[in-house]
Amino acid sequence: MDDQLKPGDHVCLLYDTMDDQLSAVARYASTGFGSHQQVVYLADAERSFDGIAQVLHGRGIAVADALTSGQLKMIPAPEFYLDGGRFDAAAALEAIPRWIADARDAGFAGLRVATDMGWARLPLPGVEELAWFEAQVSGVLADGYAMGLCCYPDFGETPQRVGTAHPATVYGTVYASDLDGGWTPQLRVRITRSPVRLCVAGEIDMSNRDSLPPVMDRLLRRSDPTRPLEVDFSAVTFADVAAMRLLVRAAQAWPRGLILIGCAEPLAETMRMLDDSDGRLVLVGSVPDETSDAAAL
Amino acid sequence: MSFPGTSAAFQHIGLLHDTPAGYAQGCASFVQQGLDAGDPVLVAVPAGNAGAIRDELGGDAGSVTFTDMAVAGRNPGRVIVSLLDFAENHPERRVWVVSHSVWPERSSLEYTACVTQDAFLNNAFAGRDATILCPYDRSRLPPGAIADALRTHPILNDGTNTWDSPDYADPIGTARLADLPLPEPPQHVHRFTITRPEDLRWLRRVLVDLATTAQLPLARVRQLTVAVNELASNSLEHGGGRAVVAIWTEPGLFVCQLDDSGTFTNPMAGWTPPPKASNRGRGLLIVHELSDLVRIHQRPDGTSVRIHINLIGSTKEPEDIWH
Repeated sequence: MDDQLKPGDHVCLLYDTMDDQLSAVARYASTGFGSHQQVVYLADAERSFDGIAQVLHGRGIAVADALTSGQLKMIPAPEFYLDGGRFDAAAALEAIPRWIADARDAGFAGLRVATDMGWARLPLPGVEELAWFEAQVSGVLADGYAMGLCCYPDFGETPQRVGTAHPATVYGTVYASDLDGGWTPQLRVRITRSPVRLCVAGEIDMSNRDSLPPVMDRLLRRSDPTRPLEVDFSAVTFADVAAMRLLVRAAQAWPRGLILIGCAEPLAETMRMLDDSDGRLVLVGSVPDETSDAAAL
Repeated sequence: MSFPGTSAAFQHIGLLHDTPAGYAQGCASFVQQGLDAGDPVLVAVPAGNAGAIRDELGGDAGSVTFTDMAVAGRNPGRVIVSLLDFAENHPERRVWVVSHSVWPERSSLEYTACVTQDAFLNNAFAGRDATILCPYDRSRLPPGAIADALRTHPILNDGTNTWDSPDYADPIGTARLADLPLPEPPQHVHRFTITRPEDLRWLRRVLVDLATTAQLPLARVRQLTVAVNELASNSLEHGGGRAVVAIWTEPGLFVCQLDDSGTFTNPMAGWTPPPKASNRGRGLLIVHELSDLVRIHQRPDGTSVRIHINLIGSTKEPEDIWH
């Protein structure tokens, strides 16, 4: 059964056992294969690649064929992340656009990156940049072609800042066993190109708070300074005070302010209480050229 | 009779009266003094009390802004913010305000919040060009309430004389003394522990279910959700990373309490707006705005926050939410 993830999603998956984690990756990968998406799997070296391939094969994934065709790429996670014995967040971040370009060139409909993050529990230099890295990834993925499943071992003390850098978090057993598709990411963010607009769907709270600022930065870089920023909230069912203040700040800082589309009551009421942008933040019900980008999320 | 309107930047006066006539005359003569000075005047009193003041003022009543304190000050935690708002809207002038927020029908929890409000008002308006008069009915309020008024108001007036209150005390200390332990929740409450940010989504679902079952109107259910989410986020971020949430109904009330192990470093957080450029400190302000009562109690080992949402408008008693 396919999962409910779409290009642009960035999910933190917390797992208890290696078995849970591989079940999740198997489901993630097989959904990708069925949708003509490329799968890049950065796998921990706790098992050999052959061992992982066998487990995936046992779960119905034609690993050998996919590796041959290029639809599946496997990369050793520790080697990728810990080049030279330290985590270089900036270097790791630079790899993602390359993978995206390669997948596009090869004609894939999208790119699914799955990554084992078990190495992150080691006290290595640079690991403190991980939360920043994950938040930046949320921004990169918001373009909507690639998606990410970041598998962290759940010791109950997983650095929460890493979880909050993802728009959504899920427990491995929930994701792997969700056969009726009842689980969807808590938050989805996409930046459309024409018009340049940030479309948000779901619930924004402390659990995904740190994922938003890099997405907002990306929107600022894309937007035309002679026009207002555009943010579509029509599919947002909850936003906390911190999220609303992020929008107010952006409205204050951007030369032409910000248009917030489809922010429904009672969120609109709270937004008006928090808005001290002197009219730079404008709430509108909908826009004439609405192409229901948000509805697609 | 004359009030010491302009001798210092901020004047906070307790009007001790014994009769409705004393109330109306005391308030009206205060208002008149503000009008005579050409200053903006706000009368924030329960709507039922406004008529007598209008009658005393006669034609001059038209120059005065009236607000129903039973609505604006239903939650005493909103009073300072709304009075500051009036002052902000008249930056060039001294403002004169009748602020009547203590009445005998207040519950004991509401009353505690009123004392806190009256105490914090001194700090919130310090240095501002404002005179605020708070009426206290000696014939109907308990002696303890009058004693509190003497502690929270640096100046007193009885309709004839004005004097400095010998009992006036440091506002933060007064608020701390007033912060009595919260009454125990009833025996049967819904109780949950949240420890991770991922729990918030689930908490909101539970809250919507319980509040809907208790027949809270949908708009109030959503406001409650925003308020409790802010409090729970605060606990996770600043309150030791963990909160016990208890939810129950009382006659006429939907109640939610969060206990954590944090300490409020700024006791006035939520009572006054943060500086305009600041992004912190707005969560509690919104909680005050959306709730009918917010009581923050500092325990020796942490903080408890209880909020009330009134079940007004619902004609029947709330449905039992324990099933």
